Amino acid sequence: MRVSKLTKRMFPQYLLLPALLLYFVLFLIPNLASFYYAFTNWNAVGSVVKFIGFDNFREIFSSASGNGGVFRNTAVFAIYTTVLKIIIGLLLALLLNEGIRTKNILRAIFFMPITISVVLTGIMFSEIYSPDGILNGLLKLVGLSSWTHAWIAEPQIAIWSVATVEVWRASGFAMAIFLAALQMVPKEIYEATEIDGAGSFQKLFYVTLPYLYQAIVLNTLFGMISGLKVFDLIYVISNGGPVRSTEVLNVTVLNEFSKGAYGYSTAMGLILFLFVTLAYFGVNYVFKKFEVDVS
Amino acid sequence: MRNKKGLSILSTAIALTIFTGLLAGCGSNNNKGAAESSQSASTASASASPTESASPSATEIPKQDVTISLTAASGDTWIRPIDQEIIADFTKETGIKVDVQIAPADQYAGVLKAKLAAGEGADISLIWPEANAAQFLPDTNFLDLSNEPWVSTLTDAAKRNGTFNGKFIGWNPEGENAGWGIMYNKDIFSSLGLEVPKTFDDLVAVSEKIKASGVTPIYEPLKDSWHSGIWFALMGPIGEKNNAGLMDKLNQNTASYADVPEFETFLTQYKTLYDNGYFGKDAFSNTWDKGIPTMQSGKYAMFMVPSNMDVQSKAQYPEFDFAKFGEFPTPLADNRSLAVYDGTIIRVINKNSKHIDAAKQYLSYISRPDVLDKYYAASGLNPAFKALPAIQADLEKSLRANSDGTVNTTMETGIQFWDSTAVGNYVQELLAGKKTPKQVLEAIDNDRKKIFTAQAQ
Repeated sequence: MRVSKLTKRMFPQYLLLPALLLYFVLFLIPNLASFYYAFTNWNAVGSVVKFIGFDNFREIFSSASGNGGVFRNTAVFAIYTTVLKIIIGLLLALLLNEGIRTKNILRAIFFMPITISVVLTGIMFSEIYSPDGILNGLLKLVGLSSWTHAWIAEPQIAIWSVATVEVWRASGFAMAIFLAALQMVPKEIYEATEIDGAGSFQKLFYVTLPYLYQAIVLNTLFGMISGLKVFDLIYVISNGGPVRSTEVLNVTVLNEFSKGAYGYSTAMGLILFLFVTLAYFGVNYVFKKFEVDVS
Repeated sequence: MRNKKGLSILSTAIALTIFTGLLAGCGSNNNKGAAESSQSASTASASASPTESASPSATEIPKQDVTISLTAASGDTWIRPIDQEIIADFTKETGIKVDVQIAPADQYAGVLKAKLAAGEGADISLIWPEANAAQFLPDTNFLDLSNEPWVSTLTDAAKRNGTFNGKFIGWNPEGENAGWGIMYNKDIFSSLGLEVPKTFDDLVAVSEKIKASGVTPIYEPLKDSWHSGIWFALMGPIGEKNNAGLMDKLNQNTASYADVPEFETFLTQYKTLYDNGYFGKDAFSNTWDKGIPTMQSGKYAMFMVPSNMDVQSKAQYPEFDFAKFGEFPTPLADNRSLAVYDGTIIRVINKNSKHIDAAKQYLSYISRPDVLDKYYAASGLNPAFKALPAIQADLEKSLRANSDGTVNTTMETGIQFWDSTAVGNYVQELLAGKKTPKQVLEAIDNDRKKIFTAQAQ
């Protein structure tokens, strides 16, 4: 009781006020204001900011704007990277959870890409993917010359090439989350299943994966949110090109902002916010259906 | 209970003190900064007058502790190494420091527009000249420099280049140049017995022979989409030639790109060059930066570059032998006119700057004869000042000789709100088959319509 009173005295809630005030002034108010600006014609050349209703949104979704590809690219990037990051991250975690001697070094190595600057990663892969780059060089070396491509310069494959860089970069992070979750699986259950004659796959599907449920949900959420919000990697590697084939929502936001179409750009940002929110609730809704109780 | 109340008051007081301290900490710095700025500005103001009276003895001016900001895009043609040297000399002589802020070239216009709109523009900005300065709202944002003493020493072309809406707003170092053209490898042309193309059909025939010889005809850096925009900008003169008054009408928003047949022809033919494989199979990987080294390798025969490329690239590629190259006007839509520049990027002073006098002093300093001598000796540019002899480098001579002698302003500077990157992006959608030539022109018109409508409001 004494501790409780002391705690109350030491940390009264109104101590939060300064931080809350800063949060309101520097984050909430600008963001809420942007909701309003998304419905205006705010731009670099006009002096009057006029409310125009849903005009910006109508234009964004009109066929003339050519934004269809942008939505498609954003979805492809988010889903492709999320799925692969989870699969690769899980495989790595399962492998490195075993008694391999070098497992600590290997864990560090696989985790390392996410610690490298995105700009550096982007520049590195721009070179790797160039027509005279290492990737094509390797393919030629092993007699697969017909497989060579201008990986980030061919509109049909560019988005997949860039998304693969994100998979390379962030799979180690997914691995770390899975590894942490794997430490929570009780060893006795494995022993029990072995006594019952379960094979490796049965152990994986009936013991390990149910225990990894929360980690899978977490990785899916992280993957979808970071995938929908991607900007820096694409900006550095391809800047949305060629021919908008790698352009994602955040790149369009920047491009429209650069043109001085601030209202339109803000509307794009609002759509992205809605997508992220939908993805969050969507992922939670879907996973709720497969919820596993391992307690 | 009393104790509790006391502690509450005490903790509230501590919280408020910390918060106030935090704000005051920031505030005091700002105030100090503002005070210094204001002091600096007044010092600058007090001491600027003697310089402005064109006194050559600038060294007599008491040194000032002022920092002016200057913003430019990345790339050597915006702020050259000699500019940095001269800035150091200027600081040494006047005490005024120049904080050079460089933004990535493809984002520069957007960043500058946003900063100006937010009232946070640099003291001096580098912007596109003439009609295309419109995108930065010169009447609202930039100072009228018409009465500065050095303005009368500029060539007529340089004055035109720095003038917007009847007011002279921008200093520029370069005199008129012949604009962009297609630089060609004379050795490849002569070994294949090729003549300089005068029409589009000639260009196709020449490219076909070059391609058959195993050399890629044209180095086209499609990764830098602005380059495709420049190709289009060169079509202004042929458009004007066949549609009298077109440039003015476009600037008054009474004409549209979609109604100009020459522009549609240009787009169709540009796509033909791409479809025929004259740009090579890796054109979308090609970057502007790698153009000159690639031309040196002899793998490509032609490259669309500015006529002062030899002057601009001297320092960066001292071993590149420009004597082996000639230049001709882009013959798409059978164009033979030159799309010239009256000058180059201009330096303008922010109307809302706190250091207007110091900024003026900088422009005055870089217009001084001894400074200009140093500048042109290092840059090799064609001077924008009457007192200095005009220079025409070999590539430009070749371009002029291969043209029909008619000139007009390039659309890059002559058309309001021209954006080479945006136009280039649409042109590239054409190459990828996502748009027809007509749809490209309509998309450009649509962007312009939005800007004109917004401006009218």
